[in-house]
Amino acid sequence: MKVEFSEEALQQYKDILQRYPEKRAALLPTLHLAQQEFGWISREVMQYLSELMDIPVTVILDTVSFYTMFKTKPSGKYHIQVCSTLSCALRGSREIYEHLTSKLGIQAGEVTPDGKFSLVKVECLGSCGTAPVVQINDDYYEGMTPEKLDKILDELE
Amino acid sequence: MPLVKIDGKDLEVAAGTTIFEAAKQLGIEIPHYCYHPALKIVASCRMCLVKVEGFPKLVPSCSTTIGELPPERKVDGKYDMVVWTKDQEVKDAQESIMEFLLLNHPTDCPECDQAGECHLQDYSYQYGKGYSRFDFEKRVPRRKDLGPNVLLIATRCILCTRCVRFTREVTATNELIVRQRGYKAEIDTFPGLSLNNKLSMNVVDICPVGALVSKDFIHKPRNWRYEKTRTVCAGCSLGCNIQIEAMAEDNRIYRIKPLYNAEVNQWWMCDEGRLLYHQFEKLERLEYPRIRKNNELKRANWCEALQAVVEGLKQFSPDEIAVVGNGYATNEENYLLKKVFSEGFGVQKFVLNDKIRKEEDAVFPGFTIKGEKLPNEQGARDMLGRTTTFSDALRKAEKGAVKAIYYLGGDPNLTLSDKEISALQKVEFLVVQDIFSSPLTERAQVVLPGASVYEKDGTFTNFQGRVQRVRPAIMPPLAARPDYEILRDLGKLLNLEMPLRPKKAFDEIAGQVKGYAEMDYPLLGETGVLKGEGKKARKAQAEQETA
Ligand code: SF4
Ligand code: SF4
Ligand code: FES
Ligand code: FES
Repeated sequence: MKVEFSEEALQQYKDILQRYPEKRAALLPTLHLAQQEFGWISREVMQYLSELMDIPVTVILDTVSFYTMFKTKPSGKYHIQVCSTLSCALRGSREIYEHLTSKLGIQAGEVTPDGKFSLVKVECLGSCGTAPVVQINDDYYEGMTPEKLDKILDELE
Repeated sequence: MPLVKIDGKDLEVAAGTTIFEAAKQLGIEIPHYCYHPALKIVASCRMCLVKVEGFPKLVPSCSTTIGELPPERKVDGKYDMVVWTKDQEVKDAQESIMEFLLLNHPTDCPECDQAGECHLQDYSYQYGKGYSRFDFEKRVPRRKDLGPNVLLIATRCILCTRCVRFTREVTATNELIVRQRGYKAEIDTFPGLSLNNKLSMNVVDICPVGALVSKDFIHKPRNWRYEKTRTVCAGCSLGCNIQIEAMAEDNRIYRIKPLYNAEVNQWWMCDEGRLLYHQFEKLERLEYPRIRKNNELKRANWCEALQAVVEGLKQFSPDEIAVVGNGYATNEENYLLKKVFSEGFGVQKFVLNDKIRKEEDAVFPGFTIKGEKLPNEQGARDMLGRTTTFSDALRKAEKGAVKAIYYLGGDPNLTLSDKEISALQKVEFLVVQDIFSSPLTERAQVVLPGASVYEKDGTFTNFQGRVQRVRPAIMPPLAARPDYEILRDLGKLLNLEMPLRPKKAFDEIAGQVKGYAEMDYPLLGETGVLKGEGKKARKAQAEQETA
């Protein structure tokens, strides 16, 4: 399949460019856009962006691999990120993580066979006051307990 | 200008000078990894930390600049900055950085090619603590085949990013990156790409540790075992300054590395030039003088061979003889060629070999590889004066106007067309002074085995007109001799006054050839002298001596 921005995404990309002095400076927001558009940043996506933005493909990989927010593997329909930094760890994030691995049958970095869930551990989500925190796709779920989590997951289609 | 005091020594520097550079001017060495004078400053390794009075913490000397302070803020009423590079606090920091850089290092010096010229070894010895407190399993990133000439032994990498910056700033080929970050960071390239630009092996030189390895040098004998010779690369008309590392026992070259020359190659050289010695190793070298008898080239001694040359050439009038000089031969050799044949045989006009390899210059932002694949075309022209071309001489041979040829060779790239080879058939007397068997030697009456560029003493003049010293690193094989000596002895046989050594011949060149006035070997020094600037260089030298 040919990797290419939809017309709408292309327009968004052009809008992003307006905000920066040079194309290279627009790389991070463009990568976020690409992740929204394609789900994850594959080699083909990097090659496409390299041509589109006139940035060496190596430099794109350098950037993508530096930030954990960019997915270099496909994720599930629901991408679950469990915070495992100090505050959350003190408030029981390990328990949350272990609960998820046994419930979903996958480890961090894996996707369920039906493609519905993927699981990763991440560093501080910046919401320590409501620890432990889990992020599912774009939403935060705060003050998590295994029971609350079960309810949330059950409601997801 | 700001006044700085470093370790108690005063120095005035231009505003904007880094502490590192200022210290260097004072002869104070500050250990460093990520800093390289050719590359942008990233200040990431922290090896170069120093203490600055009035600053709350240690600062990296490679990136901290010295500026002018207002009078009321000067330290001790006069200094714009006071720096300590050997303070206990600095020493503690250096020790910690070394320990940190070595956390996951395999300390595999016994099998590492860098050992003996490694900054990790040297700095561990000078600044390290001698042992590690790291008690955990070491991280073992996999080694990577980065490209045709370079291997990455990732366990040894300290992530200084010199190699990455080289591919971004000097070559702009962008092959290398830092992949991942923090604990997981590694040097890598994009899947499917490889480090295969024409300057790729320079990253091996600038890698301060043994992480980037030259495939040509891996597992060769230890670097301290070689004889090291400063000379000039013969691969193109740029004339990069190089160090040849060879062993006397087996008369072989093991490695070639660039030497810094600000005016010519800076820190770099191309891969082709670096590996050029293999091209010479592959040639079927001429090892003995030979004379044709009954249509067969028979081994002879040097007296017989030179005698045969003189007797053979005497049969022809000067304008029937084509004497071919070569941009692969030194200035001194081309000069002697002209001297012997003009004084000994009355030849007026000389021929320059134009059957040379020529391509487009390869241009990178920080380096240009020249397209003329020979080192001394400029010098050969200067020595021989007005010349005709070898192609032209071959055409004349075809028509019978040229009956004898004396060919001075040395160029491993020589290729002749079938037509040119058949023209040689018509030449009655062909003398080939060269290094390898070729269609020329097959048709020669006399073959004189000469020396390769790595085996001779003299000078080359590069495309800029810079005259640089060439020195022998190894010996020619068996009975082969440096071309200078062959021509000198030929001249002696003709009862001509001949300069004994290339150095002497160069003095004659300085007296006769335009542009070379006032030059001699000591003046050429390490960096060479531009044509027409002999006088200026001599003056500068005299000034330096009095200072
Ligand atoms: S491979 Fe060598 S030059 Fe490159 S980052 Fe590592 S240590 Fe530095
Ligand atoms: S650029 Fe020319 S002189 Fe320099 S190393 Fe390459 S071939 Fe030799
Ligand atoms: S530690 Fe989890 S949100 Fe900060
Ligand atoms: S040399 Fe200054 S921080 Fe690396």
